[in-house]
Amino acid sequence: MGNLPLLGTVILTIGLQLLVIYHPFFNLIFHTTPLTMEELTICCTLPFVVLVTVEIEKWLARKGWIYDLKKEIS
Amino acid sequence: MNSNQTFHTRTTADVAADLEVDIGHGLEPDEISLRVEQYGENAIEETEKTTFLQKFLHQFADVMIIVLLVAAILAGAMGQIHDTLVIMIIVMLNAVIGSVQEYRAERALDALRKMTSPEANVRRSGHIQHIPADQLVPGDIVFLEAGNIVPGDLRLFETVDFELEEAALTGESLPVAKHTSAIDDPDIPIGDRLNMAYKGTHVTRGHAMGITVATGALTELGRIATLLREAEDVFTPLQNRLARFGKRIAVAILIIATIIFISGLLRGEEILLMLLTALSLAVAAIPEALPAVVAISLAIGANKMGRRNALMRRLSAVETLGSVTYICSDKTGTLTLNEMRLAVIHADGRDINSLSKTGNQHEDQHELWQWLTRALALCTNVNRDFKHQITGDPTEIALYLGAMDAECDKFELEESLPRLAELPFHADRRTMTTLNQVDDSVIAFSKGAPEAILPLCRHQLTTQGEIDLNSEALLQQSSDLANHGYRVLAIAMRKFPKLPADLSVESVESELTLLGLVGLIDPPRPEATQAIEDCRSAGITPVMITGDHPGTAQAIAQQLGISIDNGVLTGEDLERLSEDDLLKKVKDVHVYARVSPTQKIKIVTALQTRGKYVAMTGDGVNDASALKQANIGVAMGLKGTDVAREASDMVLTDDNFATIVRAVREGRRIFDNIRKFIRYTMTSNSGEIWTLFLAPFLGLPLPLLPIQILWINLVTDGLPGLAMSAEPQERGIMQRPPRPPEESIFAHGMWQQIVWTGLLIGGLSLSAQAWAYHSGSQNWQTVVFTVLTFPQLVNALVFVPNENHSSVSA
Repeated sequence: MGNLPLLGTVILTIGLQLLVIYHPFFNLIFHTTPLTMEELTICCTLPFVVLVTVEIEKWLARKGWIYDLKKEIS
Repeated sequence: MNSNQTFHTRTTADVAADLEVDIGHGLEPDEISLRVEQYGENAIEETEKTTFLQKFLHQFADVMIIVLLVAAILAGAMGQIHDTLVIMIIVMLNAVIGSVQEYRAERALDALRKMTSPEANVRRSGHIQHIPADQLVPGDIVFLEAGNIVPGDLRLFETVDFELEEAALTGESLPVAKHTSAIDDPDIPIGDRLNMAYKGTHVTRGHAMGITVATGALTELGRIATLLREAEDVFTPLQNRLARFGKRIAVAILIIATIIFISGLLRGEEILLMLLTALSLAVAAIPEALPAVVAISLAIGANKMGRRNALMRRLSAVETLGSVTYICSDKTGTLTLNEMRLAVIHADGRDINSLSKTGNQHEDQHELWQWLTRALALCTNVNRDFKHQITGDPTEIALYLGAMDAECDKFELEESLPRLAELPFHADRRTMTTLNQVDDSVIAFSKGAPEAILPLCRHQLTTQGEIDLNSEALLQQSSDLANHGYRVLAIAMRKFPKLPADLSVESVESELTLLGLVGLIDPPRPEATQAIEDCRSAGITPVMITGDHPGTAQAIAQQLGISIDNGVLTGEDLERLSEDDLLKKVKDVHVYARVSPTQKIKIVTALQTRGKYVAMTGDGVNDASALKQANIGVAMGLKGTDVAREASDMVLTDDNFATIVRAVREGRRIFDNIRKFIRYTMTSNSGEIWTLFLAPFLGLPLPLLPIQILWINLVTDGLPGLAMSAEPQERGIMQRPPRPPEESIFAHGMWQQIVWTGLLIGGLSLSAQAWAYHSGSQNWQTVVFTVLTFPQLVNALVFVPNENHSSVSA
């Protein structure tokens, strides 16, 4: 991972999102409610479905089975 | 002060008196600052500078901001005052961020413009000075020479063989000879005022001096500037395409927003809430900010390139650099060092590359090598200044360095073997000789053109001892070397018992013993070979175009690894080729020699007709048209002329070919990162749209509140998006073919990815919502809100940086 600014902003954003979920003041502003542990776990797990699917897609693209990249590039 | 209309009718002394300046001395600093105040900068007002506050206010002219403000008012009308406040704060923050970025981009471009702005040579307080051309004031004494762009309107008082090309002013493309005497007719047309030099015209030959009579908007060019103002595109092709795309997608999203609004109403949702939701969605999904983000990425990228010796004169060039398929480069100074070096030594019946003892090329410790090294060191004239810099004729320096290869320093050697006499080089006999005390005898070392030296030699020294000279074979050898582009010198010596009484050329330069022939060449820059290799792997064809001898071109091309399989095409060949034949050949010929600037245009045009995207280097006044014709004109910053720089898209401050290749690499990185940013934001927008659009059809309540949509767009997506322009280059960035210039930014599956990844994220959010909602949790809305946020962060970290799609090798 060569891009520290990107990593930094991602961590900052996670922090901000947790603040919005759990801090009473932000609850008021953003009409949010504190999530239970179970709900938060679900929220943190689902993104990995996206990750896995994207990896599969990348693999398919490398194989040239979707998007026909080779044809487009050459 | 009189209008500058009549300066041509008056004598230069009169004009100087009128402008209160002494021609031989120039203006004084206090007078200059007065005049700067009085006349302002010597600039034809470009774009109006906006202040930070204006930029800030300008952000509110944006449609998206207006929609947001309407949303804020609606929220207020619904009695949700704190929503109104929050939306207002977000709008403010957004405007601040927008104006800061605009400001940064402008600063970056300003800095670049300053670096590329032309200079003027003036006489001030009795000294000649280089000043930025925009600092020129009326009364300044200006020096002009071939290649300059005239910095202001000048009344000439000295001209030497001086010609100006005034097409910028008169449309006449043939250069006009200028003189200094007054012209009687006050109403004579500008083009006939032959004692004036007008701002913006080009010096094509000679040199001259003049008194500045008008600067900035008061110049003739300034008067017609509104007509002439360069029709330079403010937007790059990519920005234009994104703007068009933005409009199309806006229509689509307005339709979707309407559907969501109506379906909400049908389900009995509050009309104000639904209106707000539809508006927020529209704000969220319409990618209006894209052209601005592109502009900022390009400007910051251009700034970075500027610090690495590639000054970009047009933003569009940053964007299109990655598409370059042919780089046509001058040889001398760009691909080569523009310095002579000893490259071949023909002695003892063989060729070696250097006298270096470590090279093991002449392991025998024969005296031949010692004499040869000494001859190179002693029979040269170079100077060493106080900084230990070696100065002198390039050939002499090459010989000096050749001896240095054998760890033989002329300056040290001369202490033990002092020079007693010299027969200096003369163009008629083309030889030179020095006589040095060596132990008990005196040695004459001679060097010169082989045709001049060989007839003076009887013998040749070899490792087998002195043998009879085979003059014919050596002359053949010499002409072979010359045909390969080397400058050839013969080196010889003669032993005297003591310093001869008769130091005439005839008596000293005779009965010589030949030591060898040496070949000098302007060698490739060390980094150029790697750059050529990078070009090849990146699908870019490097082409060498030179005015030099074909043999030299071929030798350098071979050393650099530029293909000569299809031969070297000379300017003469080029003239003989029909247009069709040229079109056939131009793709395969990679080395051109003895080419004139006009022929460069032919080559570029032919390549472009074959669909190539061409970068072309140039430095002379005559190169300007070729630079303009090329897709990316590259001017030399060190030895280039103002005219070439003005015509270019990019200026190399180090005149180095490798810098072009590095700029291409950087251009590709910037374009990749713009793509990543677009993919990233569009995927997120797509996820929100699917979520909001599909929820009603699945019998779920409104998944997101307007304020949450804003949060996702501006914060959880916005922050990582901003950092994306700092992404390092991908692996293999120079191992893939150039991007076709007309290729859609959404090519290579990006479009499909945006749609399906968005659909996937939307599906996940809705499943989570359904699960939470049906299990009776109060938190279902916050669950959707969070599920929409987190996958994007994973995307930012994993998916985007590892994007390999474009690096699939073809």
